Amino acid sequence: MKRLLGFIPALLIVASLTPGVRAEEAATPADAGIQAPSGLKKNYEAYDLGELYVKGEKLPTSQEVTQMSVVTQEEIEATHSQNVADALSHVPGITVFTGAKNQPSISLQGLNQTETLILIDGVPYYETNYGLLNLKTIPVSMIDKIVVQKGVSSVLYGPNSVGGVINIITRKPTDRPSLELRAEYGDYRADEESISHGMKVGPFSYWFGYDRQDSKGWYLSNSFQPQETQITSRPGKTIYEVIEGGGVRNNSAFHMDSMWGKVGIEPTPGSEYYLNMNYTSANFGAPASLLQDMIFTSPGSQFSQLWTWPAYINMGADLSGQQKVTDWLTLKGKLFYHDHTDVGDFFSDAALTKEIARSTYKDNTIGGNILSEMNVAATDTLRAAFNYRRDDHQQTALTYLPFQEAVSYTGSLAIENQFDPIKPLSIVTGVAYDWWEVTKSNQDETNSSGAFTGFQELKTPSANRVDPMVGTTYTFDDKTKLFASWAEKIRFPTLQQLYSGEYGGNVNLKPEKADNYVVGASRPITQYATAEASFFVHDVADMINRNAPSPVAQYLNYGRIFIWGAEATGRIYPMKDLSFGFGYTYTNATDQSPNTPTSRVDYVPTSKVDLSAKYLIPVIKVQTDLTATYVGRMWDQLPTESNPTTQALRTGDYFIMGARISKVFCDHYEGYFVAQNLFNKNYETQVGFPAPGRMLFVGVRYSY
Amino acid sequence: MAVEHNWIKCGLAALAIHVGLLALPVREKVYPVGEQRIIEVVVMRQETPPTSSPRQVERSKPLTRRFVARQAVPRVNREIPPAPVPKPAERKDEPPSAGAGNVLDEQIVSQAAPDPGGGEGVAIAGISVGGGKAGLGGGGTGIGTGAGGKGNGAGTGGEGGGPVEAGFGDADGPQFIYQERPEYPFVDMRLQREGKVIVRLTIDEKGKLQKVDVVEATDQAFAGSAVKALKRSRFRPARRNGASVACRAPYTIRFGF
Repeated sequence: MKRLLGFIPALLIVASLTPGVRAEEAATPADAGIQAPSGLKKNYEAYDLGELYVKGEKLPTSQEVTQMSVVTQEEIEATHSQNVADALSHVPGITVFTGAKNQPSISLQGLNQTETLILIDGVPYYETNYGLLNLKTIPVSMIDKIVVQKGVSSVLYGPNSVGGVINIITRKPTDRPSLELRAEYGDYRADEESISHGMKVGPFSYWFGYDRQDSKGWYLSNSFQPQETQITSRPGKTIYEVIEGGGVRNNSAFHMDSMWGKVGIEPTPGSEYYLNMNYTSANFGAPASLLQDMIFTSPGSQFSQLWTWPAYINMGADLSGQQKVTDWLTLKGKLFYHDHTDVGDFFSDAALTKEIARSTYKDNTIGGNILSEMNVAATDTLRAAFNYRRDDHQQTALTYLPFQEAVSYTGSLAIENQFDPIKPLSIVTGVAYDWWEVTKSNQDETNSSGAFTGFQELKTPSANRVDPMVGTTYTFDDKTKLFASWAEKIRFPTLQQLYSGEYGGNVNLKPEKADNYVVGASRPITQYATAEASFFVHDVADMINRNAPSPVAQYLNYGRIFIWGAEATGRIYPMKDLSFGFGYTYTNATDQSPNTPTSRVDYVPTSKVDLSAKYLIPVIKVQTDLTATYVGRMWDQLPTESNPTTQALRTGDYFIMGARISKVFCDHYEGYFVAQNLFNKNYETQVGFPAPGRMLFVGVRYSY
Repeated sequence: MAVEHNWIKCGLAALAIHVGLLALPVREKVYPVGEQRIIEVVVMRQETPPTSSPRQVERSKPLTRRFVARQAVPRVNREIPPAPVPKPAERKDEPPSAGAGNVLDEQIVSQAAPDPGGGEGVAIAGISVGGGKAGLGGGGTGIGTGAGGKGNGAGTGGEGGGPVEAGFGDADGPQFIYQERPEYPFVDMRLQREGKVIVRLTIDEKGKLQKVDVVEATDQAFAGSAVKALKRSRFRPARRNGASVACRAPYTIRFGF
């Protein structure tokens, strides 16, 4: 704890010692301008009539009181991200893992994706059983930017934002008609094509996009060494065999078609109504664990970790509206309906020739929210929000069994006040009443031969809690901003954690509760750099996790997981057309539960470093982007109170680099070449799941 | 069902709160001087100049044509960055007033050469504007004669006269057909940092943006945002005597709260 507290003065000292630039200076270009092109001097005035004034929108204080990152379109292109998971893997504080289901999952400052609220244009997106959004199925060609709010977040978002909030903002039409076409070809017959178009006609506007991704698989690193995999059959025996020999990763093919569109009207300034729609259809394999896999062949309970996903379909329709009622009152509202279907095929052999079962999951969510924002006085803004949604999950583990179903309701009612007593000081306070209740859960029952005998009604838990939040910012004349905040957060169990039955479900789970603290500072450092640093704490009670690494291990509430750390980010512009970005996150997580056999916590890298460099080579006008990521070692498998003899396993640390070279030609075209995992590093984000080796891509983009 | 009661209660409570908030007597927000409540990104568009004279738009009071003409010449040299236009050597020989006499201001910048491609120009007060041949090349120079307030410049225009210097807001200057709004850089928005970017645009006779030079910027985030938006914008070229010409024009984008 002393080490922990020591960070606070250290941060403040660093913030105060770095040279700043005063606001007045920054606003005077003659004094604070960046380097001018040669031959041009600054001793003249521009023609004032040829001038544009762009007003920035001051962010709500509830977003200012914690560390944030924004992934822009330029950064998405520079890192050659194909989906949201790729884009987030370069964000300081976020680690991306890909494991058994070939579905990437994130950790944000040591907290899992289930603890993070993920929004698309402000609407929560997830499939209702696991409570997770498959980030691989969101193509970046539809995205304008991704805003990551870490730790403390506004009470207006509702529950399930323990780790933070990630808001994926999609593109929208501009006044000028736009058209973008992209075609890309990569290693081992991987290709991607996309098209998007949008325009405005008076107050009306529309935008649509289509993205197709296809890959026959991806290459393992040359340094990959085949190993024997433990395959356990129940009933049956355990065998060891080599199921991966190198080269193209077995069962790593991927195909996706994704369509996104929106139509809208902006009748008056400050008012707008949009209907957003999306449809994604994917099918993909799931490379097996090279450490251990399980096969269950009991009648009525067939399942295997040797699997593929022949159908994975998402669709959504979101109606969003904003109406400026008066100068002091704005109302916002959303109605949404999301539907998800996936089909899993399970096999009893690594070659995927003997299918033993097919499961089908059907999920849908319907909900809405309303938010009012009132400028009560010059120094006070009041916001109130009501969120409500209904989650429905239906599944059949075997084709001949009827669908079992679970239904839950989640809601919140929140009020937040932003008080700005003096210009540099802002204080935000909020309180939310979050509630959740399962209203229906039945489960298939079978006899010893696997025949359906009826439904079993299961316990339907409920919970509610009042979650407060307080935060403040203080901005000095030199634009140094100090921020500090505290919030209590709650995360309700997912339907899968409650009702996955013989696969670990536990109807007695309690919600996770967390106290989040953040203190930090951000500031410009002359006109050549900006920096931000923070110290954070996540004190989580009743964290939900499996009590063993097995896919059938039961979910339990852990007593207390205490996470603390520090994060520093920044960007440097040393000269024209050259910039560097950096981010470092230190995270220390300990399991302080009573009777725990270890204090370690899985999937929390102690250190993560993100680096980037961008340079436009003069004369030839070739853009070069370099990115590098270092992720420290992580525990992946740990002993638990109920399984104290489980071997502790962890991934090795890894450092990977990527490069992108691009050039614009004929005004509207851009050609590019990309190398990912430049040094062909063999590494794992989860034990038993080697990551792709070096991958090369070449592409061309037309943009109007 | 308990949950139904629960969410119905919550819904009613939410409704009551929102209705209650709407009913609250709220006074109009008064902003202290220098502070504005930001609702949305607002683009302040330039107004159409009230006169065809490119310079009069800057004046607060009517000016005589003579005065305008006299002032216009040095203004071109003072305001527009020096580089590609050779400094007129003849200024040493003849004071601006000598030949500028009663030559119309419009002639200085808008009268096209008789042969747009021939490299001839009209010389006034020792300064000539190169023939209208578009392209990147040196401006023409020549020596004009003028006396008694009635000057008639005649000079030799430069070969393939380069882009003329012009200004947005001038009657015959370039104009935006479509102006993309720059995005306020997130890093600066978060720091509540205001800024300014001065660029010099090179626009060809077809209205195509050839080049954007950043002359000044508070930081590169502002500069990047401004340049990105300008590259997506569309322009109407500058005109001289009714003909479209290539031009260079300074332009300023301010970012503020």
